[in-house]
Amino acid sequence: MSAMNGASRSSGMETATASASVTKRLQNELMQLMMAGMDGISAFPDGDNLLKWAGTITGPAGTVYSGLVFKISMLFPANYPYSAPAVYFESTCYHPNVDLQGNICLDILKEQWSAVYNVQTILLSLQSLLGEPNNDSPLNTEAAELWENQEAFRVQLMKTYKPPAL
Amino acid sequence: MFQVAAEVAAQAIEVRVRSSCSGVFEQPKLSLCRAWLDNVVLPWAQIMHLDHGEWWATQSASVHALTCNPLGTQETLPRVTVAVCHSTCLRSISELFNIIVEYPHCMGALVDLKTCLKLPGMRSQLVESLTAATQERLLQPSADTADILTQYVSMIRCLRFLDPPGVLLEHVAAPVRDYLRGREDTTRCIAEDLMNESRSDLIEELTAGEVMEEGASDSEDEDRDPDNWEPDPIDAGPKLNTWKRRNADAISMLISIYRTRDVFIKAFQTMFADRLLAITDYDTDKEVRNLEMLKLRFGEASLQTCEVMIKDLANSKRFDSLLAEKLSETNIPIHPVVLSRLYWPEFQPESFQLPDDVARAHEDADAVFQTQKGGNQRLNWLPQLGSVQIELELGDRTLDVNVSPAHATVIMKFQEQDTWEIGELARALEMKPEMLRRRLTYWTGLGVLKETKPGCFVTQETLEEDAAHGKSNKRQGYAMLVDDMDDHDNADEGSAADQRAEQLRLYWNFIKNMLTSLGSMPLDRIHSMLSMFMQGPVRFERSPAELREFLDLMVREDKLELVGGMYRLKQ
Repeated sequence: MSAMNGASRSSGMETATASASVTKRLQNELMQLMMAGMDGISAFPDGDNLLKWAGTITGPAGTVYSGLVFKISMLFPANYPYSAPAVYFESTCYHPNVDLQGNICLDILKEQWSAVYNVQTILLSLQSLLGEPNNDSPLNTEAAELWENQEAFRVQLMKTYKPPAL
Repeated sequence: MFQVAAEVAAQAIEVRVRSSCSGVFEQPKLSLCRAWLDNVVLPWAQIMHLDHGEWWATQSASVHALTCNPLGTQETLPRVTVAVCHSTCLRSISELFNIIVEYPHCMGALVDLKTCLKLPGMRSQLVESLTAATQERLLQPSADTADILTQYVSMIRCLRFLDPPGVLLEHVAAPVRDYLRGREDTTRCIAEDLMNESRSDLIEELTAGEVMEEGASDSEDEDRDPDNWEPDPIDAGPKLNTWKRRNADAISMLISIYRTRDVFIKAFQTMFADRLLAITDYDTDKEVRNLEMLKLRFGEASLQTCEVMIKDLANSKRFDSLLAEKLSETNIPIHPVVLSRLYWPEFQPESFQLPDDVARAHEDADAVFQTQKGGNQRLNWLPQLGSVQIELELGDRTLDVNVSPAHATVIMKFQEQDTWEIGELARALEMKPEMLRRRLTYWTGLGVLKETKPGCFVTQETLEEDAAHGKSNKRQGYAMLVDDMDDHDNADEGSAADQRAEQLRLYWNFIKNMLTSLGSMPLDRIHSMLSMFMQGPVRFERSPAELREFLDLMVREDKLELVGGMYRLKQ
């Protein structure tokens, strides 16, 4: 609903109202996410404002990432949800679509972004990306080439994996 | 000689005042008393040569009489006139509680009292006497909260008239406010009053008053006309805030019984929800009007939730007409109200097996809803909030009743077969036996069913006509009423407990997410994070101590561990 409200307004919004509507939207998203109470993904505002969140993704069962936990960060722009948040892996993640700095190549975070996506869908997309990489547009070519050999991939993955501190 | 005459005069005045001023509050009596004084007492005093006497003389009393000339004129009054005022005043004060009860038909008495109140010592007398009377007659467990509130509002208006700066009021009102704060149903009663259209006096004030901002400007005397400035009365303590007191009308005095307005906003929300859910034709005009008035007073932002509720009903109306177009005639007609879950009080769906037709109608409606919303949202039915209009055709009569879906479902089972055993029926409906028993009792009360042997119910196709039976029927009807109320109470309790559980679950989800995403944290940080980010309808308003209790419980349940003052999730 807030998406519709925002769309009907002009694009020349003042920063104050923009940040108020972003805050409201993120507040709602947080509430939805907490109500849903899903296992395997988590996210929460990091610090005093709602524009920066930290989160974790647990590798889906039945994949090489099974049981591994990765930390991510999300930065929301002032015109969210009309622009995608900037999402990075904070822990090293050996993955064809993730580079060593934590940048992620995922279409819905780039050109395919739409205002109907939210934190929860982003987290779920990232979780499924772990098990189903897009090897046609790799950021980590070595990992993309190794993907065929899951056992070798797992070995390489575990060399770089550090479980997040509690 | 003078002494005796003076005493006679004093007694006569006393008697006169008592007879003319007692019990009648509509008309001012003081001027009548004074006329009597001038026409009867003064001539008599002249005959008795009292007018030169000590007691009488204006000259000896002139200083005194001038300073307290209660009539506000510059003339020096004879002391005897002052005595009349004094006597009137004491009488009114002792009857002030009754005077207030009569409000607004007590203006005469109030005018008199206001005139006389300038006599020395009267203000403190008034506070003392009225406080005592209120304590004794009003602040008793047997008094209805609504009555206390009515008297409180009248008291506010009367005392405001007597003493516009509101000092007297502040003194007398304090114990009433303290008392009301201790009563559980006070918020509900106030909210009911404010939403009750028949309380037109309050409604008027509601629209007249300005928006109350919490902690609004303390700009003491700025706005007021400097020419008409009057100092605070001498009994105004330094603690009382002038600005607030001068501007407080009945409503803000009501609201200010509590320190925050949030309790009212919550009460409004609950009552709004109840009222809107009771509407069967989607017509919310009355509620919209009421909400607009409340918004004038409480500000737009705090009532946004109610706004959403009303909008939900408007949307539901549209959805209902869409449904009427899309769904075939063969379906049971249903009129859904779609609630935005986050903005309404929590309702726990009561689960039981709805009749197939109804369940199918629900599914169809859900399908239409999903196509309308693009598949992102779906309906979660809350059968206990609905109502059903059913017509029962029995052997010798037809009955038209409006009942809850659960009641309707129960009786519809008797279409399939005439006799049901309670356990069997409970299994068929997947309903709790104790709830089922209550619903069956409702129908036996109406004479539709009959319990032939314990736990076995049969439809009663024909009513037996004999008088004795009629009587027992009546008694059963009464039992049914009681039972039905029971039903509600229990259901309420059940859902309140469920709501608490739901809330704790939500807290836990927040804490779990926070600790997973951000790592372990000390208590005060968890507390500040929850206070900061748990906003909106489920605002976090627990103290750190309450939170610690909850966290410790989680530690005992082996979900958390406390290491070096930091809580962390147990793996």
